[in-house]
Amino acid sequence: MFTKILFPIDFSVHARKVKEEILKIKDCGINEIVLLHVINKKLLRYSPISHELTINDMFIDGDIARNAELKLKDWAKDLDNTNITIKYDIVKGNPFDEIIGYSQKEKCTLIIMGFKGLTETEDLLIGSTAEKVARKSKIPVMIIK
Amino acid sequence: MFTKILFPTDFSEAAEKAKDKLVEMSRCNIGEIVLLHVVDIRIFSYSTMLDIIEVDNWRKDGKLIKELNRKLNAWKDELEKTGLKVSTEIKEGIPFDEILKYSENNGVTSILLPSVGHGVVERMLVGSTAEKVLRKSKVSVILLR
Repeated sequence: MFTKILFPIDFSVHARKVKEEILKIKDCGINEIVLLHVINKKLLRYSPISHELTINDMFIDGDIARNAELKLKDWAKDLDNTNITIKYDIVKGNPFDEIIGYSQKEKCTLIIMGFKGLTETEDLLIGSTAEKVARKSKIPVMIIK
Repeated sequence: MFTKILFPTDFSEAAEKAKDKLVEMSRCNIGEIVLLHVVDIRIFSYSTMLDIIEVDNWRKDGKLIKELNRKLNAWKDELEKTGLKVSTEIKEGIPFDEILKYSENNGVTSILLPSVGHGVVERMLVGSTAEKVLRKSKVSVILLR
């Protein structure tokens, strides 16, 4: 069950906590960890200043992906372990859809993620990304509180 | 994280599968597993309303508890064969509520849940216990498939 872990990262404090938990279970038979960052398309469409200027326009093309990659490299270093292969990837889209799709495409055996992410609110009306992943995933999901 | 795992079971097919996954986890430094069965008290009021007195009779003459203990102990024996330390527990109430109460009052460090169904109807009928536990639990939750 722990052979190939998918670890979706939004760089929040909660994701940081998940990283600590992964370090604790690294002897459970983990062969490979895939760090995945999903660039949330919805956030990119947000235009706080004017209707014409979205967050997406504020970055030169590729800026977000480049910075995310630098961050993922750091996270990969933290998890570095001689017996475990660590990979990272960046995709764009709707986080929970991308996480589920990626886990299937890459034949992962477990998804491990925080219950909360960038959204800090306690009472979520529609549910967090984690809840949606937990509901729709076809492989086991470990949700860290 | 795996110091004390709570494994609520309703003896369903999904729970059976979860038990097999648990065996896979036996190398994960698991301290202790608590097998919990919650007798859903709603069945008593429901059957009384429908004049089916047998259900209430099982409860009164202790047949129900006896049978549940037999099943729990069979699971316990099976899990203990893999080197896990297992204890059993029976509670009466509403499943999600009893699971959360037990976990909070007994120092549980993570809850292992078999989760069932992806359809809307199934989710409303069966999956809702898992969803409620996931949302309200203070400790990490592992949803198996």
